[in-house]
Amino acid sequence: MDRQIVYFQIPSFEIALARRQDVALRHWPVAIAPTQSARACLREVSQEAYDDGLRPGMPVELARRLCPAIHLLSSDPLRVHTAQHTLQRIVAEFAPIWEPVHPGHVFLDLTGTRRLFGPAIDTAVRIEREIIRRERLTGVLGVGTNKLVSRMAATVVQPPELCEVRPGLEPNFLAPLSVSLLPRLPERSTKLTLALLDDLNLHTLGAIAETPVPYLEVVLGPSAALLHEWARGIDSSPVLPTVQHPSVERSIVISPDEIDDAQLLRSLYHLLEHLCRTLRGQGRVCRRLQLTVRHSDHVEISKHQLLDPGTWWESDVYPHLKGLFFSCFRRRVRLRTMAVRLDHLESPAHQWGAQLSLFDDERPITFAQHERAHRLTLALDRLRTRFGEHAIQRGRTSSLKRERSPKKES
Amino acid sequence: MKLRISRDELLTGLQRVQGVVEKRNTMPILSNILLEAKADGVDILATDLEIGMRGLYKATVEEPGSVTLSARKLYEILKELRDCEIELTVSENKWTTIQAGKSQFKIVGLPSSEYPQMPTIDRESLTPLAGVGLNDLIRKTLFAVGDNDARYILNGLLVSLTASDKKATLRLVGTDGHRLAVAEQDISASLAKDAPKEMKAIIPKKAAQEMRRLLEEGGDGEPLIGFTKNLMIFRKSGLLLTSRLMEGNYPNYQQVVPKETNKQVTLDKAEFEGALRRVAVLSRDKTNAVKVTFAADHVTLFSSNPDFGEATEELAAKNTGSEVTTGFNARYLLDVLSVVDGESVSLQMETPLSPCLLKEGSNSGFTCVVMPIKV
Repeated sequence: MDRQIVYFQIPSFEIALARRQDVALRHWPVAIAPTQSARACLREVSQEAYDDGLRPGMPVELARRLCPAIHLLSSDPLRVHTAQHTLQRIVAEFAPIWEPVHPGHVFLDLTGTRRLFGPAIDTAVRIEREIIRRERLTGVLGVGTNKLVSRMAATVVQPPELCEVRPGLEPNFLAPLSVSLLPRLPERSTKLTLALLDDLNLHTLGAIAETPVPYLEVVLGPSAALLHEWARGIDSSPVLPTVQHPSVERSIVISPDEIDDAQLLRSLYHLLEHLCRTLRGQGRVCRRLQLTVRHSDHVEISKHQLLDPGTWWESDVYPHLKGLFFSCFRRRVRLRTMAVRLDHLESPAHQWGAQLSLFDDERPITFAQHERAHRLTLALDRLRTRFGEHAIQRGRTSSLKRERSPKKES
Repeated sequence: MKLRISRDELLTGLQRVQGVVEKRNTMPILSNILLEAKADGVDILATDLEIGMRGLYKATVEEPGSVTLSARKLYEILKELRDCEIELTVSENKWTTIQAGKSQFKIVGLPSSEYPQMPTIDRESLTPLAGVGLNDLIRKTLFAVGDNDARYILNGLLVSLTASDKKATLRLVGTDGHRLAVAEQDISASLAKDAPKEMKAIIPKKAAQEMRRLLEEGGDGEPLIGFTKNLMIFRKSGLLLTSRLMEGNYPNYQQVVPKETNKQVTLDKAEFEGALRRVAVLSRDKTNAVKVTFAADHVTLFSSNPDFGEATEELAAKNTGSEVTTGFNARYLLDVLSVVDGESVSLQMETPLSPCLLKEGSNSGFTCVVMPIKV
């Protein structure tokens, strides 16, 4: 059975999202870049900006000189995350297996769905219509017998077009395309490989397909065989679904923005209490802690740390969280949001405590302190379950205002 | 310098010093060995500044002299040669020609004047001890010595001598902070009359390993071990091993050894070892954690790994104490069992978090303490 692989992409995904929100941006050259730094580089450019000579990776200063009318927007990870999640939900209704590549780019494996949904091309069109209807986002579609061909097909059309490469016609389709369009050349050696191929006057995939592998191997080494296969439209790599990692996450919006360490740490402890209580309720321990802070100037910093052994006690996690906080919060710029995420969740049955030491004089005291802290936490849990979340608070979080309570949980 | 020596004789000498030669390349000369040709043979000497080894090997010396050569390269060359007589000729510029049958090698040498001197032994302050049974003591304690532990002193093996009018005991102690091994033996018969009543020295792990290797070689001649203020000297079959002693206070190991009671779990050593090996297959890679339950008439081993699954095994045991469930690093227990002699092993543990005392069924001179993992 021929594989039916569809590649769907929304070019310049972040810009598309921004334009959906602000229609005034539609026909303007737009780029995504960190706006607070003059030395920042462009991350994404719209077609209009591309036509004016702007490219991703170009310094903002240069971009402004080349295109004075450019609208620079800062990245909004939350918006991208939400949109990507919605996109995946729509795709999941039609494809049994799908693999997100980047935000706004997804592979769909429609092999074997013909009886259920009809031909792959019809399903692809339905998916595109559904995305336009629900999300008002237009993309391009490439349909082929493998990931490479479908992705290459999507690069030769503009939204909202579709390109299908029929089985057996892959070499003919790829032959006139430039080698530089190959999406899967190893990033580190791309420049070197392209330079070598250029030296050999091998500019198109057709030219590579016609060159015997032994000749290519002399120049490219062991990767020659793979490149030759790609040039002939052969790619057996599977569509790999994403593995879901359960996690608990809470974030807080600090209003007004804050710079005081003590105050911020109090808020963090409050977040952590909620998360650890959730974990205890679910009967799971976490083995990884992640902290994300966002400054007033939209600079976002994220750090994580593994916890070994895993735990559900805030008294065990807090020292690590404090360490992460100080390694994230190095700029003297006020913080606007903080998010704590606990993942690598697992059953406590799989957990082991620390290896005890022979000569640790502090050991008996430390154990006693830990046990006491754990008993106190359980007592607080019982009180909160019975009398409500705010019935009792620890001294360190008592000065927090109600509006600073956690805003989000996922 | 010019000499003729059999390939096997030279290879034996080189094999003995391979462990001593410095491999970290801090000083290039330390990766060399010193060859000193004398009238009665050739001396092979290696040192890493902490420990040194010297041995005399039979050779026909036509022209005395000395040179230092790369220990590794010389060893590799000799390994590839067939058993034959080798002629070693050193020219004035220290190029050394190795002629073996039709094979010829020329390797670059360094002048012997650049090679570090072996420490001089102050014979007056030397405390000699007979090395009988030393191999057994080292074998039973070396596994517990730390490996590059941040607490420097735990990377050494404590040698302690306690003598009274009636009895003299030589005791070796090794610990890495998680487990402790103590092995002792009575040396009253072999102790010299003028020997001190008490002596303590900490020798580096590497020196203990070399001593063990030399003792395992066998051969004739009683091993002899001696200590000066800052040096250990070990002599066996014409070989001399010297090592600097480690300076520092060894932790008070006696306070962590639980007092022996009659509440013990006795197990068949081979069965316990086999079961541990099997169950440890599914333990976590890093901690090797195995849950152990000491019940009235059996012991249950359990391990789990969220990525692979879990394993359980039960084995018969005689428990005269109460039921305890705790966790252990399986590797620590297996290390102990690998040095335990006899058919049975006894374990004593009061609470799940207290140290576990392991003893041989027959030998009261060996004690091991393993700290559990908090379950």
